[in-house]
Amino acid sequence: MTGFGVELRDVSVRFGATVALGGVTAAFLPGAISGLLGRNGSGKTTLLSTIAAFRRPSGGSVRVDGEAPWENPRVLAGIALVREAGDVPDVRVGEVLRYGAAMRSTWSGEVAERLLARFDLPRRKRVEHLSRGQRGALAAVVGIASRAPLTLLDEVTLGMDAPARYACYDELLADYLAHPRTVVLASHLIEEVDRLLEHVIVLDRGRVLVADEADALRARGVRVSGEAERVDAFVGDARVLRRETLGRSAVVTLYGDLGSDARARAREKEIEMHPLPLQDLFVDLTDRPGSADRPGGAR
Amino acid sequence: MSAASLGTVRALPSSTWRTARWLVGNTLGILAVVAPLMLVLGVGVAPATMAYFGVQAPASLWSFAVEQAPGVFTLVIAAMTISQLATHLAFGMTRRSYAAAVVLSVVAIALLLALLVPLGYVLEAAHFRAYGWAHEAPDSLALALLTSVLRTAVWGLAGALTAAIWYRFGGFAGVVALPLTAIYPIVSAGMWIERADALGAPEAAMLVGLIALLGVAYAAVVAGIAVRARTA
Repeated sequence: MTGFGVELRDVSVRFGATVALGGVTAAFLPGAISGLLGRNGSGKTTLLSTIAAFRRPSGGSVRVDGEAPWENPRVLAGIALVREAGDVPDVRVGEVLRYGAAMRSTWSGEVAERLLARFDLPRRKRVEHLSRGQRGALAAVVGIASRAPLTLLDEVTLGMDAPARYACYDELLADYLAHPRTVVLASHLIEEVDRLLEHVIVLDRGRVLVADEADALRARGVRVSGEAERVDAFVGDARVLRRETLGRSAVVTLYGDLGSDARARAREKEIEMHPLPLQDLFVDLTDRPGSADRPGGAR
Repeated sequence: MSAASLGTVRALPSSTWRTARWLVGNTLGILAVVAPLMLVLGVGVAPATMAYFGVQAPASLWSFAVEQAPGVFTLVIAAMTISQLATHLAFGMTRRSYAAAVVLSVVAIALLLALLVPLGYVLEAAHFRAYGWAHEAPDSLALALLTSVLRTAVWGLAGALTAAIWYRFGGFAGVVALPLTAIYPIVSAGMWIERADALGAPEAAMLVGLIALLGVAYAAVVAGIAVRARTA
């Protein structure tokens, strides 16, 4: 195993009366790429900021590589928190790379230069004059070239265009495979990062909704469709995330272990059964009745 | 963690030293523009303008510029304090090393700025002589330089402390802390430091003590700062 592991025990963060994190207990495995998923305001940024010691938790404990990160020089030297706006000095792009080389013992100048060229970032332009996408690309350059044992990427690709985003994922994966470390990706673009993830934590309203291996999570999400009565009989006691009906047909999204004979039973009842993409599963897991952006469908 | 797996791991100097070097380097970029401008305006343009309009200049215009410059420096330091902390933490360093680096940088920059003081007096004296004006410079330029270092350091650290209080505790606390930025005028008035070369050993020791106190207070405030969220 390489990279720093993270252990969170009952971590809470409050801003006055607002509870940003309400007792998060979870772990980011060392040497894995983990996804931190959640809707806006679910507490992803607060959690990453707390792990990187940008702020203290109001309660609970954070352990990075076995130690509390707050003002811990050894641990902090191994953490890179990269946020979309980019916590880089407001100088020329080329100078940001020099800053990285001066401040990070694990910095790869070769990777930084290559990524700068790949993202077509203007070396002489000041950071404040970069577009949102370019700032995100620069943040990605810093995050990958830092080669920190714990790399936390908070929505860095959000403002980037599609080719740049895919280039970012490819470069991250290639460098991770060559130099394994712990990477936590917080992203709304689940469909795009899905292939990278080995482990997933879903936050909802400051609490852990799901924490599991990505493959296990994908296996638990199933969509079944067929004649409504048969579908309902098939579903039984399984957890229903969504139910939509069209005439006599029903489409039901399920979450959980349906048993090893589920496919055979489905065939028997003439029910179609499809694995659920991680993004759809995430949408259904975090959908709130009555919320403005709730997708259509009866529950 | 396996260091080898992460590629080359280089040995670096302490993060305080690296950051101080970066901060001083960046400020030098600003000073490279401001310092010549100060000299040209204070020693060149201002006396020339007065001579053009037939106005007798006071004994020294430069002494006025020297006393006012630290106020501007305070603003630069205050802005730097706020903007650089998140970057420092994001690159894996501690608040402690940041605070130490800022204190070190303020003193280093105060020293560099102070080097302008004797140069300004010498140039001003020559310019005044050309107009046939009497010029008054401190008897001891070395003492003037020392006074300038201490004065600028006090101003700079007071600005940094005020900004840190504002950032950590919010706008109201920042407003309440604003009088801190006037600490040098208050203290110097109390010590009757009226001339740049009138600083005695007790006053110098007191200012050094004040610098240490401001540095410790700054480090204590920075130690608890929670970095705010940033958006693009």
